[in-house]
Amino acid sequence: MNEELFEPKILAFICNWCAYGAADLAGVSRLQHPPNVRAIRVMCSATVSPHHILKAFQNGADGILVGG
Amino acid sequence: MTVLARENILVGGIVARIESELCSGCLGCINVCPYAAITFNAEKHTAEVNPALCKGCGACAAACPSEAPILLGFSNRQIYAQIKSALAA
Repeated sequence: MNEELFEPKILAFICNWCAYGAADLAGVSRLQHPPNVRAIRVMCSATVSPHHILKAFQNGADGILVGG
Repeated sequence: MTVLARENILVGGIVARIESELCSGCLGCINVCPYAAITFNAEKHTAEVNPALCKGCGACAAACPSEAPILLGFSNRQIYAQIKSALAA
């Protein structure tokens, strides 16, 4: 039986000042992470509305992270 | 010149703008704005953003049931496009 490892698609809404800045610092520090997480920069986590979350699920996201 | 000595200062351009035709006057955006940057214009029956006070957080855009406020540079249409292409691969 051919078993394929499930690779989830995770969408991260990260806020410009806090979470995106932290991710940027992690990148500059050359910390590594698997490619499952895809980042979308928003100005503040207040920018994220339920419409965005539902749209993400509709487009195939397996999990959503909102960082702020 | 130091900040307080200037006649005017430059603030960021990422601000919200409200489409008057879509605004229903529910005052939802005014209630959520953390910077008190939005006021209600009773004559025009629409909410108005003061771009000098607005810090571009987007809370008004998320709270409005009519999607009347547009966060310049981070509009809902732009975010939907990013969501679609981020998950396409």
